[in-house]
Amino acid sequence: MLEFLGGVQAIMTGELLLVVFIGTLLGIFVGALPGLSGSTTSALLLPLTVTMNPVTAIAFLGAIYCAANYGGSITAILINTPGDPSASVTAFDGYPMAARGEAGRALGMSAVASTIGGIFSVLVLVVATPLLSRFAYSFGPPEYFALAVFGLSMLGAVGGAGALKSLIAGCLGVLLACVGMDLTTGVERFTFGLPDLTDGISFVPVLTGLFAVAELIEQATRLDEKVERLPMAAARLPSVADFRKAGKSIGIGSVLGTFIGVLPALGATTAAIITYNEVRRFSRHKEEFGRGAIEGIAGPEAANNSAVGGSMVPTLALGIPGSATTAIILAGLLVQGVRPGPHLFTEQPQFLYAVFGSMLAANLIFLVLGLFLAKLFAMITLIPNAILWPAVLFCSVIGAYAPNQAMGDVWTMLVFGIVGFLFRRHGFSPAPLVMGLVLGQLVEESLKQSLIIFDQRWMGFLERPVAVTLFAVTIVLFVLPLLFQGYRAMRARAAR
Amino acid sequence: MRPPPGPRPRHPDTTVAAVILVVAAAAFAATLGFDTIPASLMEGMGPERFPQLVIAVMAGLALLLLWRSRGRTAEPLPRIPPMAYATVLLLAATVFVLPWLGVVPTMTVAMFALGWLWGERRVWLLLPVTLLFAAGVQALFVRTLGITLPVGPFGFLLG
Repeated sequence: MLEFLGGVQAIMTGELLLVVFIGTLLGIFVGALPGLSGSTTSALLLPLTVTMNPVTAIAFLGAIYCAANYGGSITAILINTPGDPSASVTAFDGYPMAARGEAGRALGMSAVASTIGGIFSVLVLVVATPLLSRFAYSFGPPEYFALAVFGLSMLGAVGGAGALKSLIAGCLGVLLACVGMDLTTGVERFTFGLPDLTDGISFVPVLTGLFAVAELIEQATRLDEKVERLPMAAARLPSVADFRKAGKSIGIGSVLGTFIGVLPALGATTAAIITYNEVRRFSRHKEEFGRGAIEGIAGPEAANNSAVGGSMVPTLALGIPGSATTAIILAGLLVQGVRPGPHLFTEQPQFLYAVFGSMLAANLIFLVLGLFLAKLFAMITLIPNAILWPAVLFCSVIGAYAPNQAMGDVWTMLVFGIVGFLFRRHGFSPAPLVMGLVLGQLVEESLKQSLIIFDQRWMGFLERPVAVTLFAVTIVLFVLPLLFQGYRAMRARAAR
Repeated sequence: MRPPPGPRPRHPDTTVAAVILVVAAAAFAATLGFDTIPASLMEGMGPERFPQLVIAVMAGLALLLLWRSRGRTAEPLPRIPPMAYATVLLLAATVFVLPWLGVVPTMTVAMFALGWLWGERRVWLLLPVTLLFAAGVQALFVRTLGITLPVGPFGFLLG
């Protein structure tokens, strides 16, 4: 731990701190804007990071990721519209509190709970990442294949109607990763004679399209909606009584959020929703929930920020993204030529120091900014959509074009924007597609290498205990929800 | 209460599953057209095997989705408003003229046009914001970060 903190101190130069400060400021700003989530901003700013060195780039994206989750609570509390999906449950109690004139108290609790959750998860990140890396250091292609399949199967673990669609979207992402020249045989796949596709589909235009352009088209369908913004006093630190009441919620949120964040594919939004239910279950004041309970803000806010640190654990230690935003961060690192995984600790420890340092700093910076400038951040919700989204379009086009300087990438962005819009309309999330796209190459390469190791015997996987365990967990997680769903559907039909 | 007579509306997931199955079939057909590798040079899986495996899983999941939606009904999805189509058309037109007019000039016009299309009639607000934003993008991306963008015939205006 001390070694890591020393490393963090060594790498956190004034320049890097400035980048983290800008990233945090930007993260709160965009997090507060409904529609512009941390994922969208990370996707939008990915091209900007191409011009940075990898350490600065990951510090910048890490800061945005941390701060956007907090920023989302500002609009959740003031206009009942979460700026970031992870703040959706914050609105349940935040908005009623603001409605009865306690917006400052709600925002203060949100900032403090987010910071505590965030710092807790960074501490877990510092301890857990090296341990997991050390464990994974002996992993070969079979274990990586099993791990990647496990990561993808987790897309379906959330259950409900979305599980199947998430898995389908994940498969589509993996299929998209097959576009271009096959690295082992040199055969072109799904290129349809287009030279632009020979090198595969670039991450950046796909991400920009799926997140930014799709949201822009979505906004075009909601131009008639009006939001009521409540007046607020300045955010203020929670009182001792507030802490007494919400302390347990913050604890539950921090632990649950970190744990859920560590699981591949489950991110901050899931963590916040589960925590809200658990906090309500363990509360002595259940009747206050939904009517402005301070615990209803503290728990989910601690959870969504602690999930950020948690989701970085598998991303850095194994190269398996823990959430949509970490999938984008992972894509950013791949664009930079860096593949996260166990070797990162021995070969390029500066990356990890940059992540730990930037996330710690971002948590402290957004606490200060949140308490002193929440009123200012709240004012950005006054920017009309007809001004904001055209500016997003401008950035999207530049972002899609800039990395490869190819017009084909701009068309790709537009196509994926339309695909992303249709996806959301039919209940698909774009995040699984991104996870599939990012993991696709790893899945295919590790499968091919495994089969070569096993002399083309599929049963060879059964000789690897770690791979067998991961496959078993995958099957349980994959099959059980489907069985339960089928059983419930059959019972419902029988009842009708 | 009995449901009204007549054909029951199809669950939207039925259409979704059907579309995915069509996509899967098209993708599978495309894999059959991949170049073949002589057996003597081939080690391990052929280039078509992995995509075919993924397509098979995807098709299986789509069939499950179809099975789940069988016999179920749901409210039809709300119609996509004309503004969404107009926005997509504007985006497509923008990308189409981008190589000829240059990125910054085209996007400046597109930013103004989209704002106008979305109902912003305060030209005194929209125009300066658009121009300032374009100048900011030019300063940050082109001047500071050194990214080369197509300038088009109006490039001289950018200095």
